[in-house]
Amino acid sequence: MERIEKIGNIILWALQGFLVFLLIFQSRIELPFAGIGHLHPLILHLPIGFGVLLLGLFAIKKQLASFDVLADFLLLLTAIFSSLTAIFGLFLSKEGGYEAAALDWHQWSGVAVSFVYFSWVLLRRNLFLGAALGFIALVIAGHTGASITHGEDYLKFGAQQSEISAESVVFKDIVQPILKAKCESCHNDQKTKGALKMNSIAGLLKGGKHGPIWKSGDALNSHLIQRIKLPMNAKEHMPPLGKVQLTPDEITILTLWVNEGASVDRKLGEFSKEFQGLIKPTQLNETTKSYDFSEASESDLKAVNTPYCTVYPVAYDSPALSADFFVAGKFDPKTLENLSQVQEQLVGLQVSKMPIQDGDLKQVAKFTNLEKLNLNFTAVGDAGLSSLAGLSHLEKLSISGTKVTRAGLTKLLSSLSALKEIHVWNTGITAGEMSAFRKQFPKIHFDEGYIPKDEKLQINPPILVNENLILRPGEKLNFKHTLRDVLFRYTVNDSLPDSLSSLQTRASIDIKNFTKVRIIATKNGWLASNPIDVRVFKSQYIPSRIDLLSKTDPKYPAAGGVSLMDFIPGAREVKGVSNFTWLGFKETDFDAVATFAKPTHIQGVTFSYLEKTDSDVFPPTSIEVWAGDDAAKLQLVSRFKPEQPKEKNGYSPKGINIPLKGVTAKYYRVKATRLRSLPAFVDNKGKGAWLRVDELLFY
Amino acid sequence: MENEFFKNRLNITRRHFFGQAAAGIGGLALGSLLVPDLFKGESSLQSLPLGVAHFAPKAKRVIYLCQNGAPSQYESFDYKPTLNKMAGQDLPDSIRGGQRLTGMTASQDKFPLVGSFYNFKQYGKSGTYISDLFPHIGSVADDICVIRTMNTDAINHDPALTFLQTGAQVGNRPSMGAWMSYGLGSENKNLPAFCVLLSRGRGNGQGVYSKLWTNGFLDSTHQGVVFSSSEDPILYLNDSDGIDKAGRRKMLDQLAELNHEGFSENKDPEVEAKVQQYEMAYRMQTAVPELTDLSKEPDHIVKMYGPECLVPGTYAANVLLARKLSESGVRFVQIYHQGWDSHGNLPKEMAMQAQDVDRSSAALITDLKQRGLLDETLVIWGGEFGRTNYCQGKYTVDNYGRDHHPRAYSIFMAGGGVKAGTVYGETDEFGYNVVKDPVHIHDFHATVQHLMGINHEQLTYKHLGRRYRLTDIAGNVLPGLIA
Repeated sequence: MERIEKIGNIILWALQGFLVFLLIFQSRIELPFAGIGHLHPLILHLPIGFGVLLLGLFAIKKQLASFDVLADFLLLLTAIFSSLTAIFGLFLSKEGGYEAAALDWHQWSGVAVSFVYFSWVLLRRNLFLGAALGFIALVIAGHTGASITHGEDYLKFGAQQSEISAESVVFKDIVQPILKAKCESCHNDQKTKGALKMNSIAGLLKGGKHGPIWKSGDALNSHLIQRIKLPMNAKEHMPPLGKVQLTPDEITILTLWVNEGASVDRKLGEFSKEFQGLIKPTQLNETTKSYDFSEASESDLKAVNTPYCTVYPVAYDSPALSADFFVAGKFDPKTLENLSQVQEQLVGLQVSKMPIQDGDLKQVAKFTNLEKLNLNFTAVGDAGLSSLAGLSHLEKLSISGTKVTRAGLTKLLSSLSALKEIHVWNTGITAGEMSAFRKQFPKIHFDEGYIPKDEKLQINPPILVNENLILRPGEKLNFKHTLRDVLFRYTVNDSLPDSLSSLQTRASIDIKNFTKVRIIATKNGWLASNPIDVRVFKSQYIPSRIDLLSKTDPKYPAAGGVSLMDFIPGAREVKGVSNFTWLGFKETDFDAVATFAKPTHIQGVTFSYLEKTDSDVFPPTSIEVWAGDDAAKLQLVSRFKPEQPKEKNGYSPKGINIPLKGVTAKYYRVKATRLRSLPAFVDNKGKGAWLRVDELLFY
Repeated sequence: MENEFFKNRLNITRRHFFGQAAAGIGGLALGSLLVPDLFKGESSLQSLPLGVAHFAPKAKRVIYLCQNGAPSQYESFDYKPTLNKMAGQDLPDSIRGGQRLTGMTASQDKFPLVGSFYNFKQYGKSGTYISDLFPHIGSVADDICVIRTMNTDAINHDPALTFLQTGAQVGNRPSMGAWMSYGLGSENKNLPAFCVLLSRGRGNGQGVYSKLWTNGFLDSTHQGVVFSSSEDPILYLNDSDGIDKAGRRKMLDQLAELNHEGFSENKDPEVEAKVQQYEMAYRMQTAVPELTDLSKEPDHIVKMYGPECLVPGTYAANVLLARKLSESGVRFVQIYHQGWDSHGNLPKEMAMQAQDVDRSSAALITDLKQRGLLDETLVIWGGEFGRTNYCQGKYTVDNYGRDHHPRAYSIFMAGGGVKAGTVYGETDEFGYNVVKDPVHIHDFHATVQHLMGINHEQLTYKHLGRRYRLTDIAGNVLPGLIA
């Protein structure tokens, strides 16, 4: 103990010496360690606590065995910390911005505190007197200090904020409280940063060292607003970094107040609508509506949740729940019944598109606190709706896409007293009935939604269903459309189909052989679609095998004769990748024979080939079909000369139908002759052309 | 394999060891002084619970119609007749104020002002000025809030779009939709909480990339799911031939068992995420066919959106699908429509783009409204920045281009607690600078989150030693936008 006291004494002497030095030379020297003064508010409460405790010890002196030791020690602590506090306080006062008179009082009462305790440490006599004197000095120093930081009238009690109404004086009731809360602690009579006092109208009007702080009607050029709106890290930003900032609403209020004249006596009612709109009891509506009912238990909440029904709190601080149903195919009426466990808490229910019936609404009627109910596109009608009459909190009802009619709705609406809006798009209610409703229930907002105008829009084209356009025997060409009741019109002769007289179908077209189908979609009330073109190949008879008699170019062997009857369409070439869908001929001609299991009567042959003249791929110059039942003795039954292209073109797979007249045979041999000399419009004029073949089909 | 797990366990112990050694008692004490909340436990990292709104939200869901490539504000929502009067004259330096230029116009020695080729009209009771290119959006003027003072930090597409979507110009942060999914959870457990739909117009296009809908450092369940633009929006959803429902169920159960076993070994949270995703995909097998089914709706829904909405992969089809997804509880539907980057040939390109989006964008708002869903669905329409008020390249009366402009541009929002029938903010008469009520991207994010019931300062995720949020360290909620 003695050792501690010795060390304590040494510290105390040093501190007191330093304090005296500071007091004497404070105006003559520049103090180092700027910022150290900020420790003042940090430790000032220690000497206050110790001092009060010291005095308090006397009350229980008799119960304490070692009172003297305790009191001496406490006295020493109080003395050390009051000296430290005084030193830091002196540093702080040098940072400026405090009113001189108030500061003087605080400074010297503070010094007095440290000096009283220091003296009694030295005296060690009549400790009670010292403790009492020190306490008095503490009260004075404490009060003067608090007046500097919190403003003079900080301790006035009973100042209640008045209710705000249109009659409230905006400056006094709205603007000043903001300034008081966020600005005044540094801009008052005692602490006057920037020579600005914001604690009185006079002080505000006078302004600070840069003159008036606002320019009435011009927020952008008002110091007050400029400083507030500077970025947080700017030196001039107010309130300074680390102090409580203005909320966005407060900023808007101040800005508008300056812009609307910065009047100190006008009432709220005289300000703009925009301004009045801001002054709501909850300024930025982050608060959640409160309810009388209690929160549902976690286990209840867990029990009513399923993968197809989500029940969730409206917000984390709210007991209210919303329930949303999804996936009609998985709807389970039991889930709806289970919601009874939270029927009190349920304020929102969404069952749109669920297979619920009129009867299910009896269950819904149990959720008496419902505010929002979405029944869109359900099977409910007038009968079911009547069960909802008891939902006295219902504010929003959506029944779009239901069978509800005027009769059902009239009955319901007169009993739903809280209803604010109803959505009745796509129901049985007519425009005339709607306006009657609006007259009868002026407080309810009726939304009838989009009513199709008398405008004609173009329908979109048919969608081709077939994935492969080389059809097998019996296969049809199929189309579909996303809209209902669409009629397709088509031609097979390259002409444009018209929507009245062309061939028509609802889905499928019988194809005989290679055909170019041009098809449009038509529907009542719509303009016909743009046509789409489909080139489709068709096989009626599949031979048992096809053998290739001539040799292909090594680059395009495909799979030989099999490739001619594989129903795999030729594909575009990709650079660097071998293409095995086309049989290619460069030095030789095409020659293949198809073998049927028995003599087959066919009406013709379809030869499918590629035309890509910019790569020297041309149609054959002639195609011959030979037929017969004896492979060695075939007869020429048809010769066909395809038309040659006249200009450069890109990738276009084509087909040629070669009709045969009354031929029945087992073997059909097809020979196709390559173009020997390329025409002038391609680069390799005079050289031999390519022939590429995909399929050989029989119809 | 066993060896791998063994090594993994060694890793964990070593990490634990170092972690604990570094956090000596002294360090802990000091830390608690410096960071008051340090020992409040897990909850202090996330001061409010996840999966539920911080306060009662105005909007439950968002449909973001992102006009990728930056549509010109001068031909859409920011009416500047001064530009028509001063067409051909140079942009005054005092207005440009040292604004940096892109590489595309930096070498231009003249900056001739150019006015809108298209006229403007006032629409609705609100009298909002909207260009003749967008008559349908004009018809819903009283339901939308046009913001004329959007501004951003970036001047090129990639950083600007990344900034717009993730709150940072570099691409490693979670996207808006991922944050919503993380903060509010999924409303419909049978669909992803964050869906992405892509389409492409006929104008000059800019790319979209998966970093725009990334989950960043968040759990991968929050990643945006891109829908296919084919007739089947979600590919490979059907069971393959020969596998029936029961078989699939059995397979998933067994797989989950194995995965749980793996998880208990390696503690990788991604394993759990994967199990959840398999389960969701299983439920999606029922949920998705219902989504794409139009048969429950009247034909004239097609007239509203325009017949293009039946052609998969078009903007209109995506908007209609977005409505259905949103109606089915998808928290955040993100649409990107490419083709707005009109550096040249603007009058023609812009007209084609407007034709793509005008009708269906407006239809979405009307459609949500007639179902009683608009008040709980926030619709956002707009690009990543604006375009310059001066011409890029050669200027003629009917053909011009506009370069990128970050200082002020227009977007609109509708529903979800937004002040309907208003115009927010003012630009100068050249449309170049913000005069009143700027809306920075961070403010925009803060406000959107506020509408969703999220306090943007409270929704955070700790990653690499610090807490991140969508607005990072900036952003103010703008009450002027909120009804």
